[in-house]
Amino acid sequence: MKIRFAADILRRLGEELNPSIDRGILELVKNSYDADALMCTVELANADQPGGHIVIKDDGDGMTSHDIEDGWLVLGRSIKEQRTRTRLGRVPAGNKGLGRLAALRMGSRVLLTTRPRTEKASEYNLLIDWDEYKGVELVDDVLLNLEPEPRRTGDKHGTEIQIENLRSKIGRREVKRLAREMLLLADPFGDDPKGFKPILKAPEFEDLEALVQNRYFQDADFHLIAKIDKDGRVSAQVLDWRDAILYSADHDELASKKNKLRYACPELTFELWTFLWRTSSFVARSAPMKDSKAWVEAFGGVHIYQNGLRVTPYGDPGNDWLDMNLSRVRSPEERPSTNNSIGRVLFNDAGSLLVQKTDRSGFIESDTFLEIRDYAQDALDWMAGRRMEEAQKRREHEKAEVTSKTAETRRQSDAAMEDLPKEAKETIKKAFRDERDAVDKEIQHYQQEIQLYRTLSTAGITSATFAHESAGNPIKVIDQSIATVERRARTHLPEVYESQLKKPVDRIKGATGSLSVLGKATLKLLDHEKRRPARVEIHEVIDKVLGTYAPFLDPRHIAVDAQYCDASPYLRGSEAAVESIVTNLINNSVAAFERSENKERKILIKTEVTNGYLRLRVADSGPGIEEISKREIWLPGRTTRKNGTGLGLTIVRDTVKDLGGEVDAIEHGEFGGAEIFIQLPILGV
Amino acid sequence: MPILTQGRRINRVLVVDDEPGSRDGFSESIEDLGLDVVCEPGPMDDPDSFIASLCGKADAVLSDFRLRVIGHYSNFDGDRLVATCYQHQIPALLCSSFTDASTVIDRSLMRFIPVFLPTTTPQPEDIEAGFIRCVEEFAGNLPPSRRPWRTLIHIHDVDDSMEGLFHVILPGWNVREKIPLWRDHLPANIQPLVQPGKWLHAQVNIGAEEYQDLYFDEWETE
Amino acid sequence: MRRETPGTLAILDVGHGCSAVISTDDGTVVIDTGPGSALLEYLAESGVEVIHTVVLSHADQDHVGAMAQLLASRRFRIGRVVLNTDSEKDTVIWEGLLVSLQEAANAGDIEFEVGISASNASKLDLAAVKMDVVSPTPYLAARGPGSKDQRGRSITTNTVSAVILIKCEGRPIALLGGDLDDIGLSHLLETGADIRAPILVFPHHGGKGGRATSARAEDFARRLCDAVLPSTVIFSIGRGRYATPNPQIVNGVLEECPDCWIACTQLSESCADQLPNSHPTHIGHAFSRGREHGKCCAGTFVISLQDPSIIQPSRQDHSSFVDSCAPTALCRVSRRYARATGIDNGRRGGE
Repeated sequence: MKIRFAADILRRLGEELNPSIDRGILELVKNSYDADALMCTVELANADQPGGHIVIKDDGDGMTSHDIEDGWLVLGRSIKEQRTRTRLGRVPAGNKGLGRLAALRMGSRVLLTTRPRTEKASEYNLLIDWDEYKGVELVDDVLLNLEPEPRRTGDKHGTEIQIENLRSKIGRREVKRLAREMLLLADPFGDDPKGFKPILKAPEFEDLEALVQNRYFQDADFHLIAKIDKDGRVSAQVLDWRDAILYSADHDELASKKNKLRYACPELTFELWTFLWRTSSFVARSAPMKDSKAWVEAFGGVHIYQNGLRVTPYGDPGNDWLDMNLSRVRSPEERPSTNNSIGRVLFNDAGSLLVQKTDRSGFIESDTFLEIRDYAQDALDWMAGRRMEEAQKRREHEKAEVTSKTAETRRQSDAAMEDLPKEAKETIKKAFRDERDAVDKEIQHYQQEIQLYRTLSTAGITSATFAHESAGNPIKVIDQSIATVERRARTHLPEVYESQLKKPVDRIKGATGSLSVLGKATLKLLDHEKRRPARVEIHEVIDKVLGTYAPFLDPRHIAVDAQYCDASPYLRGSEAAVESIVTNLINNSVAAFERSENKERKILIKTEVTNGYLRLRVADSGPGIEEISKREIWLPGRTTRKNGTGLGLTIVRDTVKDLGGEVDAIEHGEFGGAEIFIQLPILGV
Repeated sequence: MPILTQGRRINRVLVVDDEPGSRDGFSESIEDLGLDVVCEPGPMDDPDSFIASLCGKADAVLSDFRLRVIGHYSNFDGDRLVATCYQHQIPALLCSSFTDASTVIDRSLMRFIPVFLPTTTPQPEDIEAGFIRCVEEFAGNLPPSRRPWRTLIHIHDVDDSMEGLFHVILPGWNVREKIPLWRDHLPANIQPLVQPGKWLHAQVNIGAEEYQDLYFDEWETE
Repeated sequence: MRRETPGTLAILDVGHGCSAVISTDDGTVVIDTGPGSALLEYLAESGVEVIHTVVLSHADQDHVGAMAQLLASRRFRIGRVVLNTDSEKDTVIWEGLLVSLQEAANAGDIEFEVGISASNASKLDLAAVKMDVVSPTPYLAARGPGSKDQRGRSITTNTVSAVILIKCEGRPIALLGGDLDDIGLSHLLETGADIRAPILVFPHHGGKGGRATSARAEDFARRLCDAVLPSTVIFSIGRGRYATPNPQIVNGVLEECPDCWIACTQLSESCADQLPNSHPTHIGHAFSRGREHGKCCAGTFVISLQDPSIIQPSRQDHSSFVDSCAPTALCRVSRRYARATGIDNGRRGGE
């Protein structure tokens, strides 16, 4: 006894389990691929309506009667048993599964013709008429006749499957999916003599036919063609997607960096297609972005063809012999990677300049090979450079556009004013003129301010450079020397040391200590990490600034009284912003003491938290705000101190504004001197 | 008198610093320890020929971090020099008060830098303890703060304001500390993996107290 | 076969953070991992390769940091990991931990369970060792961090921190306080649960906590000690971080339990601004993070589950260390303060 299957099982397994037509056909194409076919034609005749037919024809290894009976006609055999590579070294793509059944059942009849490579004179024909299964109970009840026939001379090995009288039509969507999947099996450039070349013949869908033929190359944003001639002289050009030349270069430009007279390698062509997939620039192209992305994902990288034959592993997934990805990581702007580019290097090597390693893992890295790689990289560098230049120009242009836009709107409003009734015209014109003058003045003022900030930055950078240096050499030598003096004197002259040397030694140590601390303070201000927006704990920042300033304040006998509220207020911003507020306020007070006769030098720093705001008060015991109005103190360049920049409080005001807060001041505050109020919105406590 | 530890004898120390005055300064600390001193006058081309030239000249090395401020002295910095010594089992100490040392140092080298004294005026006893520490490590005795553990690493950000700088967070160590690393200090196959938000593994001494002492080595690709 | 001693409970010196390890013949349970390598070192040193259960009291890094290390190190087999939901937590790292736990669970390496509250207390038990979850209450666990309780008080990650009462053969050994805060404590006390234990690992490393004023900090310590009546109070702290334990907290403990032994894993800067010169001899053999740099006060505690009064290091050794090396020791200063302000010594009968 055995379990047997009702004939209806074929319908269930075929149509119901695998409803997608394109996957079924693709399964047959994969069978061709696995049979080492070089060519596989899928012909859809009248398939856009029921009753049409499909022919899948290849020049692969064909099947023997044994292959048909124990392979092709066996349904649902597991895929795992066969993972060895094919005769041509392909990784089997088909899953030998039920997809084939679904495809074969798309019509009412299937005709299989196959000529095995191993039997030079045979041909086998097999007809499956699905209608026969309707009249029987069990699958086994239908007997299939395999008819061997002598092969006609001239007929090469291969397989042809005709599916006739289609039950339903094949729509555009299915054909498109089929075309896309066929491409993923195909040799990307279509000229490898051992590669797989699928051809789609579908008169109803000409554009999709063309897609399989042409791949996605015409969708690339940049097409680099770089050549070396027989004299080792090079040239390159970059085309856009319409094949118009964007940039070109001759030998002198390309080889300029290395100053090479010639490249020591055979005549060759290096081509690279790069895709940007910018939504804005992709509208006019033929295929959707995700299709070409999938294709480039499968084949991206630069392949090498020697005498027309592909050399592995160059351009295989994961192979990046030109280090494109690394260069892109280093400077992502305008650089190709193996994920967005596909390319090839073609050359004929009559002698044997380049020899492959015996394990087929690429070329022996001879000078010639390294030179080829060098050249390809030089060409990529050149292209990246040109693209950077262009990007730079684009940005400048955008900036200029803003200015010319202002001019244009002014012309327009002038014209509009001419149309006004006479009585209103003069008044409005004057109002406009005044407004424009005010705006111009404001711009002028901003420009001056920018200039001032630039000057200050330069001063900052310069002092930082010196700070680095002083933290390094001269102070270090003094420190070391005095340490030796101290250590040796303590050992050899203990009494003399205590009574006569200790004081001057400590003085030197104290002084170098302050020097290096001040140097470090300058560096701390410039720590670029602080400019990045993050959670900023206000009390922590004040504490840090006070710590940094201590060696500066102590000798000046300035005492800081920090009174913090019982909470930890924080905001989102850059630490540098909060730090510059505190620093400039302290600087402001320190400068004030120099004008003050008051012996007591005190700075009060007080924080309070109310309703989501932090209130920071900085008061000093200086002379207070005098000879200048308390509104003016915030303006740039207003200072009562000769040689002052007059920018400190302006920076405070601007920074506070940027953080969404407000500033205020009173002439004589809690300690008698100026008192500044800062209010900042906070995130929490 | 020489340092004797683990059957090893340290009698003469080579001092490396590009500033001649500072070489003398370091020398005096070592002399006060009772050891002989020789100074490296430079120039030095690469760490390996430095090691070759060391043979018979000295038993241990003390080096400053920055060796390239004064011209024609060295083509590499002290971190590489000390790490190369360590790999050749030569006791070596790194000394520096350079403010940014902990930011710019190559953290894969830190595995081979057991002692980094953050000062330019090391006390003789610190130097002695440092050399003993090196020899202990050569004998395989790593203190907990120097032991490697396979560690999960989160790439917190890639700093666009400074080329090649990125920050990582070690969830197993301290989530509040963002540790600066440089892309070009990583092995070439790891560099492309440095993307914000990525999780990677490497050997890290997460027993360290301060981030300055962390090393990152044996990065894994997946 | 049972050993003569049913095993040990170790309160590890992990620096600032918490980790406890229960070791018995029936297996090893880890309650919180602390940060860094301390837990890994302790486990490796004890020859542990299999961890029956890891309980994570709440989502703070100083309690769960080394969980990622446990998984990454590939040196230990972990039976299961149990934790509570926390949607509030520092997204990336917490997310990263949860993802790795889920991946480990998908790979069949661990069991990953969510939900610990007083409602399912018994599920953590390991033979004779019972681990009663006494907080969060099911109500708090159900509300979760980021919400408010019925009286409008904010529920944070700390509020729902698991508090575990360890008992052995029916006898209370230690109460592990997690990072319990005053709101969580109020809810816990309202349940009327008996949480008396000879050893209290004080919540939140004895820190004042974000919202607590000094008076509230002291009050918190008093209410907690009044309920636990400990004879030993342990603060799991890291020298130089967060200024723990808070003096008011220590005061509060001493006012309730004037004769109890107060001990910190590391030597607080409030107690000694200089580290001792000599190498520590008083601390036990078990791994202590502070040992290498001489930062230990008592280091790692190893407590006998048979008799919780047997503790390594001994009270006596620790006391003489404090006397000689911690000139401003809080446990001494506060004690003098407590005595001077006329606290009734006899009120708690020294228990």
